[in-house]
Formats: sequence, structure tokens, C-alpha cells
Amino acid sequence: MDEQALIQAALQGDIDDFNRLVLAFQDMVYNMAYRVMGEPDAAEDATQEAFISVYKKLHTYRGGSFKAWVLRIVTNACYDELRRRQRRPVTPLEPELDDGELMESAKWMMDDAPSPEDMLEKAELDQAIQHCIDELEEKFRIVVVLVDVVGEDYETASAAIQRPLGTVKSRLARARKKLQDCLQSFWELLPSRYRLNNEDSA
Amino acid sequence: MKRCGISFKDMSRLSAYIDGYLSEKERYRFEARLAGSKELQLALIKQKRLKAALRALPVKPAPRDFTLSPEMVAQRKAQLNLMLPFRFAATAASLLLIAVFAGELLLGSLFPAPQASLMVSEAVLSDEAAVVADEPMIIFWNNPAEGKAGGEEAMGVSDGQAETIIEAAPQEVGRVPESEENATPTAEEPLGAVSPEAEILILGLRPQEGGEVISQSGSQDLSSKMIDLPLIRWVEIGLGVLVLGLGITAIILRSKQRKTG
Repeated sequence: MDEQALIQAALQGDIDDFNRLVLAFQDMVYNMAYRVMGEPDAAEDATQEAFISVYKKLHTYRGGSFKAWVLRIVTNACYDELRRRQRRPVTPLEPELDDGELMESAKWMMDDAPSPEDMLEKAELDQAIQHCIDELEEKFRIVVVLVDVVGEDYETASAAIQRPLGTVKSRLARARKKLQDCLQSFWELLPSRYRLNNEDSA
Repeated sequence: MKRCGISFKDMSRLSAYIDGYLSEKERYRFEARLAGSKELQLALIKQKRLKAALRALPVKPAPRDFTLSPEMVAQRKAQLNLMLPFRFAATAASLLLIAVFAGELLLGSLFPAPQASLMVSEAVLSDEAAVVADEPMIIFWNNPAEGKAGGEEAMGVSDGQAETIIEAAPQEVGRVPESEENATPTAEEPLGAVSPEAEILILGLRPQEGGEVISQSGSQDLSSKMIDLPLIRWVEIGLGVLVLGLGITAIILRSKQRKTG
């Protein structure tokens, strides 16, 4: 795919060419939105909003890394969606079984902070990490997702959050420290390759 | 921030070291410190472990296609078109309002004399209005020279005559004073010509006339002067209201657009 050719075609108003760009980036965009938002519905909203914004603002793209430019728009879309949801919190509905009966002990009735036992029952380390990411402040969350989850470099993260490189370094260090503290009780759930032999001696 | 004996500065260096974002010089220095500190070594291992765990998170694929349809784009444009004119109009009105204010100030500084004289005349007018407002009700008393009512001046007597009357008064309580013939007649009625109506005077007022009110108060005049604002004030008020209305409408449209968008 010639990215620049597609961008030029999209700028002429060709929506099909723009949609080819959407298909190329949608997994990365959705993944980032999901990790920042912490829930699929919100991530979908943010992703759709981001692509609409990309289409609207395409004429403001001045070359350089298109991926970094898209990530910047996704970051803003995530911020907007987070604020929108803070203003109008979405209460999840009681999940229903296939026969229409309400499911007992729904997840939303539980305490926000999952205990290690709960996590063992779920056997999903992914959720534990996501929970700790969700606990971070927005500005730290975005940076740690961009660098550690999505795997972008500091320069791209700096362009995405529109802050200097030093800010990225400092926010990332704080985010990692907070995540480490939060995940302290969940390390036992990690696969052996993540475990420390001398964890207890620390 | 200093936890577990490691300062935030060290944590920050550690974080940058893992990602290869330390300069050559910084890296050598940090590695030297790292070699001598068990605490830093453990922190490094923990940071690496965290980074690996985060990187190992499964990639969430898009649950559906997020491609845009022509309708979505068109709908978006229509919504935007509704809000933009209001925003533009509100901005234009506020700029006009600023221009009017600036023009007024500029004219005021360029031609201070007419403005000053206007202000002086306004001040005089308001002073007069205040005086008028403070003035008590003036009533022309009927035939005050008869000594039935009215003061010294209202009676129109001279100082000497007034003294005579005042001196005579204690002795002639309830009687018409003898000196009444010498009293100066008032402008309304000559002295000595006691009219028949004098018999039915109440507080010295003639029933037919009931007293003539010269001036009660200037409140009505004052209020009419206050409403009589210069045209520029009305323009400013009008523009202010316009800016407020258009601005609020634009904000409402924007919030609606955000909710639906």
C-alpha cells in the first residue's frame, strides 16, 4: 500500500481510498483505544471518532510520519471520550443469561479492586494489568500504553501527546513505578519467564 | 518521590536506560552506579519484567470495520454546518461590540471638550433634578395677612411689621391683630379685603383653589432623563444581547453535536 498515494486520493475526496487507510490502521487504533479506555464499547466509540477526525483533518496533515499523526488524533479522541464518559458515566446493565434470567453475582457488583484470589479464579493476568492501567491518571496511562503496550518510541509518543521528550520520559517513569506498585500482588500469576527468582529476598 | 530507597531521579534514569534513551555519558555513569547498588539492580529487573508483561498483552483486534460511509461524512458535515454560522455570527457580533466600545473611547479621547461640556450639562441637569427633588411642596396660602395662616415671609410683611405682630401676638391671642391694616398685602389679594370665603378656610386654603402646587418632586423628570440614553448605549446593549444569545446557541449546538457525534 502506498500510504502517501492513498492520502492524496483521500484528500481529493475519495472515501474508498480513505477507507483503505482505515483498514490498515484500525487494529492498532482500536488496540490503543481499548488499552486506554479499558472497555470495548468506549474503545469502539473512540476509534470511530478518531477516524472521523482523521478524515476531517486530513488537509492539516503536513507530511512526516502518518502513523504518529494518526496516533495524536487517537490520543485526543481517547481524552475526549474519557471526559465524555466522566460527565455521563455509563452504568453497565446487569448481564443476562440466554434465557433472559439475570446473571447472579455480576461483575459490576464486586469491589473495584480485584483481590489476588479473584484474579486467580479468572486466571487472566491480562485483566490484572488492565485494571492497573485503568487506575493510572489519564496522562500517565496514555504514555505507558503508547510506549509499553503499542510499542512506539519516545519521539512518536511525544508527537502524539504534543509534549516534549522530557515529559514523556518523566511520565513514563512515574507510570511504570505506579504500575509496578499496583501489580505487586499479582506477580505470582505471571508466567515463569516474568517471575523473579529472588522476589522474596527483595 | 522516593520509595524503597530509590529516588525518582534514579527511577527516571532506570526507565530511560531500559529503553536506551540515556546519553553515552549518562549511561556510563548509571552503569557504574548500577554495578555498586543491589537495590538498583533489583529495580532494574522489576522494570524489565513489567515492560515485558505489558508488551506481552494480547493485541485486541478491531471488533468490526471502522470504515466511513458517505452518509456518515455527509451527516457530520450537516451537523457542523448548523453550528458554524452561529459561531461565526457570535464572533462577528463580539468583534463589532469591541469596535463600538473602542470607537467610543477613541472619540472620547479625541474630542474631550464636547464630551466634557455634555458631562457638565448632564451634571447640572442632575443637580437641578436633585434640588427639585429635595424642594418641599410649595402651597400658596390664602390671605396670610389675616394672621390665620402662613409664615412671616408668606404673609409678605416687612421685618419690622413682623416683629410688631410677633410682639403683639401674646396679648391678642384669638383676635385679629390691630396692626393688620398696616400689613403689606400679598400678591394674590389686597390686604384688608376679607373675602367671605375666609370664614370657611381650612388651614388657610381657599376651597375653590385648594392651593396651587408649584412643584411636587422631580422624580418623573428624572426617570424620563434616565431612559433617554444616547443611541450608542442602545447599540452596545443590543450587541451585547446578540453576542450572548448567539454564543449560548452555538454552545448548545456544540454540546448536542458532541452527544450525538
